[in-house]
Amino acid sequence: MLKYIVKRILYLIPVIFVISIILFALLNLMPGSPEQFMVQCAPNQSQEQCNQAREDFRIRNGYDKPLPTQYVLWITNVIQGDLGESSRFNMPVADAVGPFIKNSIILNAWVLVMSFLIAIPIGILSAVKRYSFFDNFWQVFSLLGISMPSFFFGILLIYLFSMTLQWTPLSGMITTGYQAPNIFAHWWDIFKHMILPSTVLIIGSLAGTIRYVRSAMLDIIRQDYIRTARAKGLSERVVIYSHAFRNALIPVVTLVAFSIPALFSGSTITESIFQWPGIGQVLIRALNEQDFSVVLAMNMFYAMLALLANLIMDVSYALVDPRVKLS
Amino acid sequence: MEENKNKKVELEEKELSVEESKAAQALREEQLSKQERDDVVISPTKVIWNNFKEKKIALLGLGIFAFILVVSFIIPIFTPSDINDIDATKIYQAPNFTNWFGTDKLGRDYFNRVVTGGKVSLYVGAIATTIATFLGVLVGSIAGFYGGKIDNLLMRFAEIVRSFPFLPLAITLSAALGSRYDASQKMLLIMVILGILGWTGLARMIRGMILSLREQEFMVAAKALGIKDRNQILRHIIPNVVSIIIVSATLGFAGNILVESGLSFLGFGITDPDTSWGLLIKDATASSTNVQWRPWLWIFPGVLILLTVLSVNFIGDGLRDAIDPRNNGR
Repeated sequence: MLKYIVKRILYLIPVIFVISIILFALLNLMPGSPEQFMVQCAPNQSQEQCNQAREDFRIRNGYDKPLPTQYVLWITNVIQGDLGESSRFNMPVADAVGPFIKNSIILNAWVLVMSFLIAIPIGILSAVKRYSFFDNFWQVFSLLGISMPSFFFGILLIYLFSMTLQWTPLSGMITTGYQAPNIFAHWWDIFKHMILPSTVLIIGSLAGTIRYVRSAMLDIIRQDYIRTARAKGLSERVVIYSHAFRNALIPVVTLVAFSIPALFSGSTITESIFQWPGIGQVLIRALNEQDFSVVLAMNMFYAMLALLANLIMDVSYALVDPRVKLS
Repeated sequence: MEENKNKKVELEEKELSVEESKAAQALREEQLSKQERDDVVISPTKVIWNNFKEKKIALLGLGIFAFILVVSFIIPIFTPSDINDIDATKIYQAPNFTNWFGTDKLGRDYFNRVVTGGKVSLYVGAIATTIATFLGVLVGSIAGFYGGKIDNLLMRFAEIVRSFPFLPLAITLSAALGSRYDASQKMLLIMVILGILGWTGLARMIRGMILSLREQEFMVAAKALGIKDRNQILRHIIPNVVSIIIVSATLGFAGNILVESGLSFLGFGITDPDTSWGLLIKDATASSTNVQWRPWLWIFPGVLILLTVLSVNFIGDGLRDAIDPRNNGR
């Protein structure tokens, strides 16, 4: 097992390098140059002085060197934990992006837990009562969830619940100017802001999850040992919840790992509608303001997250299902 | 049973008068044709269509999608007016009989703009899907047919592309490359980006199918006959996987419309002076006044995206079940 994991990690290293080279080359096509954002000209400075300052900045940061050299410089820094400097925040990328990652995790963790809590029982019941009204209803519902553009749904919810009924706050993560008296009030405030964006995200991810659980369960119900369990005279409840469900959990557990990068990337649009201060927002703003280092770091973050999730998925699959052979 | 009936008809025929025998003959012909029908082998396409017809929801999807196509492509022929016709006397009018979808900030007819935007969304989705399908079939069949090192390399590459979170990469690509192009080139760029990011799933499926097809006798025969590799793939393998390609393309089309509208909404997709459903919603919701007091500006394009994508998904889902009934609803 350990050997397998080590092998998988070793295999990831060249992949990460390939991805980083592609991203680096790609982002150098981006318009604008970093020194124009980093070095602001003071009004009393002459144009010449300003250009000189910019030139100094270019040399200091290695922007005058050829692209491969720049890449080597950058990747050496990244390996040492230095992601570069954000031109917009004027501070190291890690410090600038950190709080936003935390906000995204708060939102996405809640969405992940809720969508699985809702989807698993529905998926199981759909498989057990196949072709019933219940099953058909959720099949159509999940197609509706897949087809719903998240931005339209988000705006619809804002229009209904924030503007017309005024039940929920409009956008953001905390009420501006509101000083929470204690920690509970603080989290309650965040929760209120989270209701609408998480509804959009839950409906979006619910759809796929229900279908996945249902099909995993249908596969299991067809197995011989389920027939054996029924033949033994076990009650249907025991057969379904004890024998079938436990085995159906295997693919479902791996789906959790798979959902994490999907959620993080998928929440980009939702975060931007509700102005949730998360990483999706950071990426969009960084792209609009040509904040090269942040864009690069964010894309590397997404890629690493996806690769890590893939690794966890394979390893957990092998861990929970003894039939999976590692070779 | 059937034969006995026929004999009976024949016997009766002799006894009957001329006028009556005509009627009897008609009856006989009807019965004969019924018999013939039972003998006919139904083609796979017919089987799929018969299965598809059973699915009410898929037929509903087909109906809605056909309606949207008619409205987008046929009605504009009869109401020729420029989408940029400005009318300063009719700014921000709610939907009424002359302007079905109301008017926007410049008094332009919103129905016209929504229909035009819809055409763009449909075009972009269709072409992006074509690119993705072409790449998927190409890579999948090469990997599956040749196997070995080529297979390993191609599938590893597909894995890298696949593992990348789709939306952030699409946004980044569009922002990094987009500034060099004007609006119409940018539309092409979006199609290409969606295409080159979307082929991996199909490639994997096709590869898997071919790996199992390759071992079957008809492929061994094709090889023994000395048929060229290219023809083995094009004439003998592809026809066997065409149903999968169609289903994947249908569902991919729905997905691409959704992604294009999302990109345009974020400002990284279709840009002015072109328009698309996503861009219309972006413009409409830029101010919260419009969201609250002029909802027709965002409701119409939004509902249309939903209806289009939903109907295409209904069709794709129905097709998948029709092609493989064992797979029902999975």
